[in-house]
Amino acid sequence: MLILSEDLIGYLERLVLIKFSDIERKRISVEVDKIVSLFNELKNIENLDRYEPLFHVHEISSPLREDEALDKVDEEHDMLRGNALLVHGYVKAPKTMVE
Amino acid sequence: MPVYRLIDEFSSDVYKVFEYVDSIYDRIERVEGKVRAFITIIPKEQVYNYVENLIKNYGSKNLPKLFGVMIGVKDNISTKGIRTTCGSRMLESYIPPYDATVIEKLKNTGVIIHGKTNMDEFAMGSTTETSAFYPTKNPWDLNRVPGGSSGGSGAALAAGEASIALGSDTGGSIRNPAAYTMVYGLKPTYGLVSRYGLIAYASSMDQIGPMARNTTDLALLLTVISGNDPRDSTSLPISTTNYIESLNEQLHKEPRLRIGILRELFEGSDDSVRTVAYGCIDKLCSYHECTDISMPYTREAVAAYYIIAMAEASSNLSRYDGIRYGLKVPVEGRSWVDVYTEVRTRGFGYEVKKRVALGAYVLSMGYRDMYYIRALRFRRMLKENIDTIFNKVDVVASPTMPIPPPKLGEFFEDPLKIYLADVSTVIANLTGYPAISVPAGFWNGLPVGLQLMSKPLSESMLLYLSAQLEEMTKLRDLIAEV
Repeated sequence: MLILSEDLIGYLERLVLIKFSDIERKRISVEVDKIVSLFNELKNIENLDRYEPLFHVHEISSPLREDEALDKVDEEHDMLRGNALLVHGYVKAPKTMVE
Repeated sequence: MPVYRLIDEFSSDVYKVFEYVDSIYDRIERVEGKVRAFITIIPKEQVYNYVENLIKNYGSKNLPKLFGVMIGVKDNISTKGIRTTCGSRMLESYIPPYDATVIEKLKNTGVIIHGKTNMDEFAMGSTTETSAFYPTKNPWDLNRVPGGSSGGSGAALAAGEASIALGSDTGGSIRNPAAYTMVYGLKPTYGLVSRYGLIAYASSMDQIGPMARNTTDLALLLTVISGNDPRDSTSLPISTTNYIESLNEQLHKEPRLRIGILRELFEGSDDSVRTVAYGCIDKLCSYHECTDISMPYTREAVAAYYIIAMAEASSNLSRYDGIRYGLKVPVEGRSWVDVYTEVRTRGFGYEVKKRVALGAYVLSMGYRDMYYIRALRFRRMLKENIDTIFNKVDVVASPTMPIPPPKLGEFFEDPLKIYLADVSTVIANLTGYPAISVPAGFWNGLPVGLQLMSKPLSESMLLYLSAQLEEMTKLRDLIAEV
């Protein structure tokens, strides 16, 4: 049984970069216990190790499209306009390097 | 009026389309306040202009096949220039700069997209209650849910607010609301319908599919949206099928099929559902050959589904950082981690946060083999078991949902109950096989659906059985009195 400790909630928050509110923390600690108990039922199935994992239901590899030369178009800004914050044509983003 | 009759009406008198548009908008005005099937409704004047342009461009005698038909589109399918929210605050103001492939195909047939339908946030839910905007109500009983996550599409059809609809199905999200709103809904074979433009939840299981009030309309819509798409690398390398022609051919030949009645799923259902579903099965078995079949590990299939879906969702939703699209927060002088965390904390609802966190957990060091890889091994075992079953039968039948439509808020305290309600539907998603939900009947005024599942690329067979049942039950073109 998974005990969803404060440490584990904190770990998961850092992993997915989401913060849970206090109410959400209370709720998740109860719910996750039940959900992981359901997940653990897979442990009871014998001989599962003799099956290879099935990542994809069809045996297709990623087909590559032919390269297609196009005239230069200002598609990128059309794509971004209205959805991204543009400053002088550049997307405004936070710093990735911190001192 | 069914779509297959509407298109005849419009081809004989193109200006009837304006009466039809008026009637749909009148209906929306009367019932939408109670049902809340839509997140975005296109203004009527815009639709009028669109229709007038179509007539001008094509000429009144040369209009495309589905000219004038009004469709509700689930709000996780990209529609150029029309807000697409996925039922989430994260994408509340997002306007896609492109159409999904299915939308391009529909526009080429002259269909009118008049609204984007409500859904569980990022398709994570089975009741349309996790929408960040508001829950949709079941038109058959406004105190109950319409199912989910394509609940808005199901409700729009049941309330007469659309003639056809598109949904998406990752764990039952077309079939569940179809069963709960007394409409027909099909999850196609994985890869039959392009996912290009479908906002991803769990990519190895997501499929767009048709929803309609009768089988013929379902077949019409499937014909339009299916087929290979080079922009979707998981799209099957097949040519398009005319499902209307193949349906008519099957109805003419009337083959007797072998139907397997999946014992565990009938026995695990509520008495009410079981009674109605068996009544429906009896009708099918009066013509076809029926046998009881057994498939163990149905509960474990739910576990495997949620492990895989949450893991894939965790990866898919990592793109939501508020930079190129989505919720905006101040970035000046702040670190990337701070901004990213604030966007995701404010943009996602609780159910999404929970699934993303659990998905990361099952993929994390020390747990990946125990949960994720083990679930994928189970997936292969399940597929092999199902393949063995399909050596003996052509179609597997079960109730679509094991319980009648729950009341709003009923599962708030115990989400595991609603997860386990997916026990019938997840099998088709884990294996990629097609499955349809067909109206089976009412129990105390509440809709019950029957699910039929078959081998890959046998949608024609499912549509044939659906049409037969439809003829036997007369449960078609039903609109609830809201």
